[in-house]
Amino acid sequence: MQEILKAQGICKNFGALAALADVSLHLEEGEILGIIGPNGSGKTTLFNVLTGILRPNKGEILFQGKGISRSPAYKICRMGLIKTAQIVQPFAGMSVLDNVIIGGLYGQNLSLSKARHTAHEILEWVGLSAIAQAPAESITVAMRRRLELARALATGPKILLLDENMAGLTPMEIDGVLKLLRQINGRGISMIVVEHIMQAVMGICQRIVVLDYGQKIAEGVPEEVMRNRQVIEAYLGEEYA
Amino acid sequence: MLPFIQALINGLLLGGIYAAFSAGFSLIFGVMGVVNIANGEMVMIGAFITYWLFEILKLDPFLSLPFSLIFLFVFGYLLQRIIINRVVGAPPIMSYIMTFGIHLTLANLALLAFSADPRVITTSYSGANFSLGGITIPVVQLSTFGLAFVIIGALYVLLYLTQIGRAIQATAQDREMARLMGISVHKVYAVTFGIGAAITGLSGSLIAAFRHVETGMGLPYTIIAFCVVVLGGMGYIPGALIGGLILGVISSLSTYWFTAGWSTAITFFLLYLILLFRPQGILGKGIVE
Amino acid sequence: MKRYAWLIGLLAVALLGCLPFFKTGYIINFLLVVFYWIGLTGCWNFMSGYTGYIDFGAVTYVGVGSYVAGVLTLHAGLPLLPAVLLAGLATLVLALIVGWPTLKLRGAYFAIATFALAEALKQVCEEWTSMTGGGSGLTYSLRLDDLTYYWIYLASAAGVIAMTLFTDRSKMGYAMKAIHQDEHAAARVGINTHWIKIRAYGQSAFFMGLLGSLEASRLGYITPVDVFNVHITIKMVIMSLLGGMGTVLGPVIGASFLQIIEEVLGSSFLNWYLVFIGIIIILVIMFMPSGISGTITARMTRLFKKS
Repeated sequence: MQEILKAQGICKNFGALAALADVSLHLEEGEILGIIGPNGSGKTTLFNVLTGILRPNKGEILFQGKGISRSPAYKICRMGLIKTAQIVQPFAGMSVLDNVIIGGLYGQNLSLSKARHTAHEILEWVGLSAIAQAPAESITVAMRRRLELARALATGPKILLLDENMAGLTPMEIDGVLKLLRQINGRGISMIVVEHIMQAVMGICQRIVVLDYGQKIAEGVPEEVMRNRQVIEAYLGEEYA
Repeated sequence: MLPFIQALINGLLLGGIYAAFSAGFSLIFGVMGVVNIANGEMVMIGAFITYWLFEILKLDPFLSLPFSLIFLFVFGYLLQRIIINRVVGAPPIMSYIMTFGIHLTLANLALLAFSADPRVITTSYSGANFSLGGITIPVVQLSTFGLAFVIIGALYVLLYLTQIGRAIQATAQDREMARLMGISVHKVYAVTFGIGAAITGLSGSLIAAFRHVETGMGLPYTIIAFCVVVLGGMGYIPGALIGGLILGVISSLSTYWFTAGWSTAITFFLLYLILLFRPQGILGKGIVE
Repeated sequence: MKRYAWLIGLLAVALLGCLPFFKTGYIINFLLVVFYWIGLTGCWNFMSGYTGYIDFGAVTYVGVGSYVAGVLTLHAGLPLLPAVLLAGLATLVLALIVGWPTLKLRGAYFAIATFALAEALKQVCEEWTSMTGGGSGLTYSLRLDDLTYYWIYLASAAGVIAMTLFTDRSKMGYAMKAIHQDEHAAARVGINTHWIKIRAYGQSAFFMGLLGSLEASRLGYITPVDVFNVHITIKMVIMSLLGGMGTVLGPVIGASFLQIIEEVLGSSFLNWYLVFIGIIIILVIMFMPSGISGTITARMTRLFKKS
């Protein structure tokens, strides 16, 4: 299997705070990698660095062999790497459909009619067709999560980064999302999933990386990682759901 | 050499005044995120209060300060409570346009009420100045300069050493948290605006002692306040002092070396460049969006 | 409804175009000015209304256009229309150069920076007496026929609104609206936000330069204070706001409304007019922040949803 994404020695400081300290990981093509860790361990920061929203102080990121740590966010998106936000905020003042169309327009450089066509397809897939014309700001949180996912899919990604996409969902809703994610993965899209919900992580991740205080403290298949002493300590007090 | 030093001193004296009417502007932006384009009108109102008290009651300009202070505090408080409160938290554009509307209304109402004629206050000590090693320093301007420092110092004390000041700072940093701690955010904003208006009005009263008082004086002062505050750092009170002094000196020296016209051009180009390359101001302590 | 928009617009323009054959004098002169302001406001709205980057220095391009065309006709002896076109090009180039660094600023800082630039350029024109005549002003030696201005301004207004309509529904329109809503998210989904902003800014400036130079030729005499006047920017902003920022018809509604009021109140009661405007602004922001067009659209959407 080919390595599609590689991050080496990533360091990111905010003033005196080291949000990420020498983090290295890699993603194989077609793989679903999980990243877990207590709150504040740097997971979102890592995603922001990978997608070009933040620039790392040190380290290199290779996307299909190409260095992208200096590339602007929009270029990285067009190359095929995109993340969904933790705090989901669709473009207000536009419909659900329009939100997804934007992804196709610029992420894949489609014409307006093609982007519209693709958007309809994707909305069908994620189950939001019924509310395609609704104003994006009026839909429920669960639907917003799907919209965020749909918009990301419209950009034609090769790698999808999901930042706590399932927080606050009921177990049934989580199952639905997991099914969708497996379908997405089935179409050849590699994924990195950040989650607190163990049901989700154990359910679909082939490998897991654990972060704590900005450092990688464990890596491996889910069963191994869960038994790792350091990981258990970092999560002391957390229940295995 | 001497004319240069004279220009320098003039610039510093000017700068002190600049700082005085910019401090309120900076405060309001720092705490509420509102850019008060009607700032100059508060200078104008303060100046007119002093003028009318002098004309009608023969009250010395320096003794009119408390009246200005109180009137403008109440005016600012009510203005914020009733009108400006609507745009706090809204996109910044709303506050510029709203305060611009207030500027238009106040400036033109004043024009209609008092006409465009410039007024001057002449007291017994108006033209007095003293010489220090060949440099002429006008008495009134020096006193105003000193008072400007006192005003800013008092503001600093208020913000850092009193309870209300701490409430203001807490609200400025995190509105929701302040609310949770039981601080009435509405009141804090209204008081802050009142204080900002009061200080600005106060500086207007001081200005009336040695400059023309006219209904159209507001906008140029607002523009200067912008420059001062950007130089010194938006929302950073001591920065108003630094920015004011620097701007005063640059203004004065440019006029001395070139012309008044080029001085204005240079000031604006400088403002533009600072915004481009150092929006946090010279000391780097300004709030940058 | 949307498909008929083009037709209705075309009809309106055709009707207005025929008007001079039936009426002359006062109404033509009045409408001419209205069309001018629709055009100018349309330009401001195209950039600031859609992207949310509030340009407080827009008058820069009106002023630069006025002076470039003036200097070209006066000192270089060019005929008027080529001079106007070159003026437009000059403002386009200036806008691209200025836009590139300035559009990296946000919110208040962008507004103040553009304003500062306008003021600085005003002063430069004041001082550069040899080129611009300084404070004593510049006289245009060439002019068009009054009626021609009517048709040119009508065509320009229609053109700017059509450009706005077309862009509103195009790829770029999506990008501008996204930038307005959430610039970070827009970048994340692949939009080159910097370039979109520069492009909108440049397009807007180009037409402002054209309009500014045309108007300068119509008035015949310009000074820096006239053509770099912040009140021109203010008018554009207010007209856009009143009509509804980021809408296609907003400039038409706002410019018409305000010019009518100015015409009725302005000449004899200028200061009362300004007080009135000030109060209107305050009330609009307090109760109708999306402007007339925006509020009507919102109401109509709710109406249609219910049925």
